[in-house]
Amino acid sequence: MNAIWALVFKSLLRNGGRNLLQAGLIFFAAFVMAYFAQFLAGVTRNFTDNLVELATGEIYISSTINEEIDSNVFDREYKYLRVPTDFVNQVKGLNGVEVVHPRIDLPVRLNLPDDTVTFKMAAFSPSEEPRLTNNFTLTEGRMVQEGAFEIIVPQDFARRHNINVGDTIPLLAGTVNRRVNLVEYTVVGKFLTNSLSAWFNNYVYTSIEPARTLLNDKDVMSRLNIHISEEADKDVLMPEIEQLIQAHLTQNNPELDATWWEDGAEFFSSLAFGIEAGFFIIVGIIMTILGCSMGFATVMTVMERTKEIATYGALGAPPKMIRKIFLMENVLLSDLSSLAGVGVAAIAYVLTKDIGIPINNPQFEAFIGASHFYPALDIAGFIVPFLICKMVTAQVSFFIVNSAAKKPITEAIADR
Amino acid sequence: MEIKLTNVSKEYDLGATKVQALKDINFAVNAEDFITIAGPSGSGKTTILNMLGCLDTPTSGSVTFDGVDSSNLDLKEQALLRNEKIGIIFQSFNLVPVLSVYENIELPTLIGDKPQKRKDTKDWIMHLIESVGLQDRVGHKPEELSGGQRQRVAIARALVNRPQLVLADEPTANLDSVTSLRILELMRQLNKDESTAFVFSTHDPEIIEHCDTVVKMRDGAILSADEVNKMKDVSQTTIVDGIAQVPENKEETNA
Repeated sequence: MNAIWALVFKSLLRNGGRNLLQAGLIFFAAFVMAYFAQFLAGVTRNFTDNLVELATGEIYISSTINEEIDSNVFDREYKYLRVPTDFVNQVKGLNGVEVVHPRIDLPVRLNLPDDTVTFKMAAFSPSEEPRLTNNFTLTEGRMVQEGAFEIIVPQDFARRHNINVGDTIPLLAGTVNRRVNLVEYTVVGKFLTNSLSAWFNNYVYTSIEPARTLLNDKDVMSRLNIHISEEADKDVLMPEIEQLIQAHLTQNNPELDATWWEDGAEFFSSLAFGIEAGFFIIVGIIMTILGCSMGFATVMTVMERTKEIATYGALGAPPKMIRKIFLMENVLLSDLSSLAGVGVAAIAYVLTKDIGIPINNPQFEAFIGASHFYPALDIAGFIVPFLICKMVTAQVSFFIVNSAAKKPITEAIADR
Repeated sequence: MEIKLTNVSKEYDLGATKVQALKDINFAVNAEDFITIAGPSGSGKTTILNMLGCLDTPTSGSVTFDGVDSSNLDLKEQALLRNEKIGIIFQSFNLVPVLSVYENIELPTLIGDKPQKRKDTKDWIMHLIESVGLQDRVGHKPEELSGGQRQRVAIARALVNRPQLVLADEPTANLDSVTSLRILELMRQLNKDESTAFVFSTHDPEIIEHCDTVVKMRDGAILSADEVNKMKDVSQTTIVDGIAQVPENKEETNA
């Protein structure tokens, strides 16, 4: 084995307590950074997947909500738009557009035998939206049929309100012209969502036409989701869609916009930003503590070993070699500890990627529509913390050891 | 080999006061020299050793090693010079605490990192360990050794690279007379066989008695350099009841 390595390993074994403390700190720093990166990737993926694939499409057409005039009978912000079939077909015909899905979200009251429950209904086309259809695992019953007055309900919601498959439930909703309508729906299934987000558990689902009947308007929808191909150019498509809106949808509609999903997901953006900012603050604090402690430990080590440094010099070790010995000690300590930290983070990722981490704040859960956070694989999130730990350790150690190695040998070696 | 100190002065700046450690010293060490520098504390003995070992630089004057001015060498070249040509025995041993006796002695060879020289290194290290009487302490750490044993490790370490010059600051200060003589015998052997020059700084009359030249110093200046030629044949030393019996000199030649 190379002499320097032998010396490095032997030196690491002394000051066991201090080295163990340093190793623990580096381990913790690497673990937190690596696991948090997976966590961040998971949150981003959950939101992106749910939002784009299942909720909004890459582009959606909706109205700008005006709180003063748009409050419906249940005091919720809502806006419906009327989109004729020929407009939908024109959007479908645009270059780069893959599929177009109308969506209706509406607040409803379920008149149950023992209670009246305010909930939400979402309408989609089961036959044309396989991604959303496949999002549901039906634990009992079947999926709603296109055009039938049927609903599927979240399993947990059904259990809480004693709803069974086959029950007929009157649903009450505020119509577009601000009247109240009541339609009976048959419960045909209970579902669990396959999505990592529990967002979908906040709705009962039906198909488009029965929802329009409840709203008493055959062209109504609350949003038109547009899915585009990967090659499609957002900057080309957006103006084209805006032009179609101006040409065909200005009558009988509130002010409409085409929105790129990310621009419309303000909460998503602010949440992602908040999480990222929190991540960097945590990383900054950890790195500061790590840097200070490594610096302190290195100063202590160098002070204790000034004579040893001078001895190496007297025996013919050039300053570069002396620096190398001490740097390798710290970097080896850092590498082993941060590798262990990243390794444990990888294990934690594997263990939690399926079961998730429960969110205990109901308000937060309601906001993000998820009861759990799930980490997602982010390879860079494993590599970068390792490199950061290595860099911080090496940088801090270098300055201290460099100055010690330059100290005159006779001064350092003098008897004390 | 020749190391020459020409008009060397060394001044230490201790805040408000300046200390003149060496005053215009002219001194040379050649191969096969066996020199003692004697003098009271603060006379400049250690400073001269530091100059000879390229551990320190003069305030004025020059130190040349085989004609090369050491002040013209960069730190790496000075380090290489020390590793290959100079062995240093420190008064306070300066052993590396985490290394065993064998590893401490091996250290200068590893720092030099010359794989082609490693073939016989192990045998040579074991020979040195036996010569200094530490064959039963090979794997021990310095903290497990007595002061005298540590001193012997430091001596073996200084000799391991077969240097051209060995500088020793009070090399036998912690040794009993038997061990002192055994080590002197080893040094003499190297002095004869490999023309290794030895320069000691010591108060030990035993060493002074066995040296070829005694350089007397006081207040940073050389008072005299006497070639005493009291070369006692240490190989004839006998040990009676654990005490070294050194034969009396029959001849003396003054410079």
